[in-house]
Amino acid sequence: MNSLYDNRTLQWIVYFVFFAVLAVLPMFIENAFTTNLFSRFIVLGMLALSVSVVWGFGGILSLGQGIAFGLAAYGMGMTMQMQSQDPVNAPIPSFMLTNELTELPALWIPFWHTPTGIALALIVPTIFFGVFGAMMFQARLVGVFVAIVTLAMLSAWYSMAFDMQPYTAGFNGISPPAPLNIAGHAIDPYSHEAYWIVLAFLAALTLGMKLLLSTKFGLVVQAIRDDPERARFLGYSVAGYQVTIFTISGFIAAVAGVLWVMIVQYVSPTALEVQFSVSMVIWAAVGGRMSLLGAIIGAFFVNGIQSYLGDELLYGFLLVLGGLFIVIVRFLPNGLAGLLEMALARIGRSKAPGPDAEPGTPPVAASAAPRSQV
Amino acid sequence: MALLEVKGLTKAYDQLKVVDTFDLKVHQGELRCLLGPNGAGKTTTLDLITGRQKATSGIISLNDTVITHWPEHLRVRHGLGRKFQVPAVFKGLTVQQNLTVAHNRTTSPIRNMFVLRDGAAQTRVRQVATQVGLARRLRDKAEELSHGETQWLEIGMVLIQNPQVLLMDEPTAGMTAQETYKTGEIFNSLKGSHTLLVVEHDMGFVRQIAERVTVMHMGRFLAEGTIAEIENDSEVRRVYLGKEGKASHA
Ligand SMILES: Nc1ncnc2c1ncn2[C@@H]1O[C@H](COP(=O)(O)OP(=O)(O)OP(=O)(O)O)[C@@H](O)[C@H]1O
Ligand SMILES: [Mg+2]
Repeated sequence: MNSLYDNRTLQWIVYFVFFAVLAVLPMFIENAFTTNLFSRFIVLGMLALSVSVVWGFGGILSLGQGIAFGLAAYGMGMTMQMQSQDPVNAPIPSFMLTNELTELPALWIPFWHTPTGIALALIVPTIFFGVFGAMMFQARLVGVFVAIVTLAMLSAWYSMAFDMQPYTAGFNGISPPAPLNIAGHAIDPYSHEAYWIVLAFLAALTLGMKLLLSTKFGLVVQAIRDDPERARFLGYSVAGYQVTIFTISGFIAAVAGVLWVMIVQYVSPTALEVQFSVSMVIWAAVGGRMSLLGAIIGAFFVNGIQSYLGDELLYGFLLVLGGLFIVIVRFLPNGLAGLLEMALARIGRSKAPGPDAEPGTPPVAASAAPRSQV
Repeated sequence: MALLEVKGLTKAYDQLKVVDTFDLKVHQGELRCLLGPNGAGKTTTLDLITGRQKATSGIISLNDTVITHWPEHLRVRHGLGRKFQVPAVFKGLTVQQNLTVAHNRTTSPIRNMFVLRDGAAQTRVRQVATQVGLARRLRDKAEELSHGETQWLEIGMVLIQNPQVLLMDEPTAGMTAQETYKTGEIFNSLKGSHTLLVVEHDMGFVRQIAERVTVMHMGRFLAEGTIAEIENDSEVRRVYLGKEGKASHA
């Protein structure tokens, strides 16, 4: 009853402290490379947030979050690329010239205009998630079938980005030569400024989601996760709620895609790789998918270790990660956040002994719940 | 005109008709019991009425509107509330949250995004929780409830919807005698103001609550009347009470 999952006030306090700590963090970082690395972690945390929303709360195991991320990343890449082109002297990006295009494809034209380009980068993936979600959930796809269909869709987008070389630069990807320029001001990807921008978006989205999930909408979404049929027989359009939460998660991943390209100045089909989208699910699982903050911390934790280990040990680590994922899904459905909660509950119990610490408790009861023993 | 009317309702799996040209009329304010031996087609009839299964043929109308081909959630919004035979509650949510979700005045996802605190709904949640004896368990997770309490929670979830017709599939299954009696009192308090169709096996419970009883057997209508008439009906005794006779004297 007094668990972390139920104490709303305490949760809000924890959220604010968490973001306050992240906000002052760059004051202690001189190294621009490290600042940029931390900015990247923040964006990856945003992806874990989107997984937590759709999977942890919505019960929809989407392996296609990379679709929204990737589409948005391409949109942003195109926008930043066009900022470096000149309508008169250099109207088309050089990779198109090497692919024998003689004029800018119609698809690219809106990206001349930066606000339009960024808006498209956010709107197109979001709408795509709405339509794709409607198709899946009207057909009442559930569980592993959703995972398979989203995965197949992701692969299709990956192939497309890869194959449409004249439009996407294929395998090489798009690397805009200059940082994002907003109204004459360039945002240096390695700056504290970039970090704070990215963090501000993560904080806004996280708190927004926290608020949204505590409305009746959020409650119904969680009810549907528990038992879609029961919700349907209470008069709720299950598909309607699922499409909505899926679309919202797509929007969050799209914001992450836009910010990612802002801080790395590069987009390639790797954004649409299956492995990447599966990783997002693992981050959320490790941190605790039922907790927005837990999922974000899971992303920091896994990526932190990954970058600490470096490339040589990476494959070994991925193996460990796979194993960890299975263990967590099987034994610790609430991830690190759940572990923390169990620890807090234990502390609470040792301070004020509950019924199962009383001397009269038969030994059978204690051995039936080995994990609650001190 | 009946509030809920079913005409020629049929559900066939290949050759097997599990509900066979079944007719039923339930009037406003009535509490009707639907009896029948195991496999008679009672649950299937509720499935067809609520749209969980599609009827092979026949007509279902609620409040003069034909709803035979409507999707489930629209039938519910039109005035049906259902309790399942196997209790279905949201196990991961608290009793309070279960009842809040069941309080379905607004069902639109967008409109519900703006419902952060609904005082009127919470007042109603506490009323219903008191009515079904769960007032002290509001903050407990549904998965922590006993079997009987889970049944009450689901009954509460149907009540809070305030539907035109309450469909109850074996509401006392698995309850102790005391719990069953208490449930009977709840049902009796609903008489007149609510319209109920109750599927039950427990004859003691049926005697406690029933006004009119309909009996079905092998998917077909068998008999209808007061509980006394039904218990004296030779056909009914042959197919049904013969088997269940022991239970009725328990
Ligand atoms: N999918 C199916 N395919 C074939 N037969 C089915 C199917 N579903 C149910 N039945 C049959 O339909 C018949 C009616 O089942 P139903 O559950 O409606 O009975 P019931 O009256 O509710 O029984 P009980 O008292 O045991 O709950 C049973 O004989 C059952 O075996
Ligand atoms: Mg049944």
